Amino acid sequence: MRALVFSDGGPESQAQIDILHKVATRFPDLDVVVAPFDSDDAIDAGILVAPGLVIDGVTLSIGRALSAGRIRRFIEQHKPEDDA
Amino acid sequence: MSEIVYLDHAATTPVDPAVRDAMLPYLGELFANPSSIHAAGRTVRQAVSRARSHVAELIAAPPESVVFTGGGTESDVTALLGAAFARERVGERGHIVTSAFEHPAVLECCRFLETRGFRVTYVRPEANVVLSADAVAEAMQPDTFLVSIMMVNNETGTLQPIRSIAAAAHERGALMHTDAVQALGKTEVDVEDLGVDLLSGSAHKLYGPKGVGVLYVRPGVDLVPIAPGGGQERKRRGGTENVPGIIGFGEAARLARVHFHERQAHAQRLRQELMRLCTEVRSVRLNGDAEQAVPHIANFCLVYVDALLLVSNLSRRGIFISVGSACASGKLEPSYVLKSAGMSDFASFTSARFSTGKDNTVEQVSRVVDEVGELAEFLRQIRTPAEIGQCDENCPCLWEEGVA
Ligand SMILES: Cc1ncc(COP(=O)(O)O)c(C=O)c1O
Repeated sequence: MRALVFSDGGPESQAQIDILHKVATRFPDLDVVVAPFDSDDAIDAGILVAPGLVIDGVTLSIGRALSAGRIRRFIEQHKPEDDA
Repeated sequence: MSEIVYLDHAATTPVDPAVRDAMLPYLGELFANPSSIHAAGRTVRQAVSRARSHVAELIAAPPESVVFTGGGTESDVTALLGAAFARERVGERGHIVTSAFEHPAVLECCRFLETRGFRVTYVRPEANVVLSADAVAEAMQPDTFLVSIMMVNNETGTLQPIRSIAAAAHERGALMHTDAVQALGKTEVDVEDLGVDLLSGSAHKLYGPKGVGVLYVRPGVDLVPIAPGGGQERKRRGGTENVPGIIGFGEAARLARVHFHERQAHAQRLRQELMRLCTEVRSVRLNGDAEQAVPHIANFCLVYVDALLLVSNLSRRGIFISVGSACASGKLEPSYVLKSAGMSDFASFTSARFSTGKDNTVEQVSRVVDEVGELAEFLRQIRTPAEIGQCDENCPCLWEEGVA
């Protein structure tokens, strides 16, 4: 699974990155990628404010960090069958 | 990606192929300046004049009262600043009445005029985003010289009681301007019947090109031109005309008139389908007014669904809608339109606008309703009510607890 965090380098973006790295220790298949929030990918995802979080093509958060619990729940519900 | 469904026609519409075809010769061989006195210039001048007649017919105005501008914003600015500068010219200032939910084109002009010593009252609408004509009349003061109220609100589609407001303005000797950018081609617009002195429109909202607009100026109204330049447009707006744009606007206006009833009926059918959101998707309600509205714009509050996430995820599925909340200095601001009607920030952050067009099909709208329903359920899992907030007790959309 690929988690794309769109960051503006501010504290809320950093918080989202830290949360994801923590979640990734539980889910080694989670690939965390950080991109600037004004990149083309961010524009494609409609991310107007940082941080933005997109996991496997689903936009999960815009403008604030999503909690570890919510991310975990999403991953557990959306993990490919063979990883479950 | 699956088929694109564009439901953002209140933002802009695609240029009709017939409009594009009408414009093309004016980007080619018919390039002359309409002010030139040679034959090539005269040909173009005649075409501009035909386009003027088409736009005039759309608003039931005489062609000589139609001023072409660089878009809806410029039309609003020309009307408001022009009327205010005419006051300044005779050494006076005075008072303006407008609404709190006007387009920024009007609001920013008003704020600018406040810095020059004018006074402005911003009247708030009722909870259904419709102004009370009485409230507007009550806001008028002895030196009110201008009332500017939009005909159709761009975020909710609500129709404002322009006729009654214009009558009240005239009773007190004030000019009446209406921003009809979202109304042209969508509802009957007749400047005589409405009783307005100034009316703004924009081509790109009715399948015409961007960057061309219209300002209707009732004969005899004193406006100081903002860009006098070479005296074009009967000295109302200087500058060589945007000929291809004007020709495109003329054709778009002609088509809007010819197909008016058919497009209206189609928009009604699409709205009916869209309204399934309120009955088939849990906890969705219409913002604004179900009756007093144009059929092609509908704004819904989807309780506990973060509307930005909805827009983003729909966009990934090829469905394009919009939200009224805006990004300002890296922070998300609630929609000032919904706020002006007393809605809470939370109602605003969970509201989205769907605006249909002539080329949308019932099947497309049906698919949108289904996908919104599915995404709404998913997104309600992503944010808890505690995270997204609650409406305060005055919010007209107050939801029962425990929806999510
Ligand atoms: C109500 C209203 N007024 C004015 C405008 C501005 O028009 P334009 O984009 O042509 O400048 C818009 C455009 O969104 C609008 O909706």
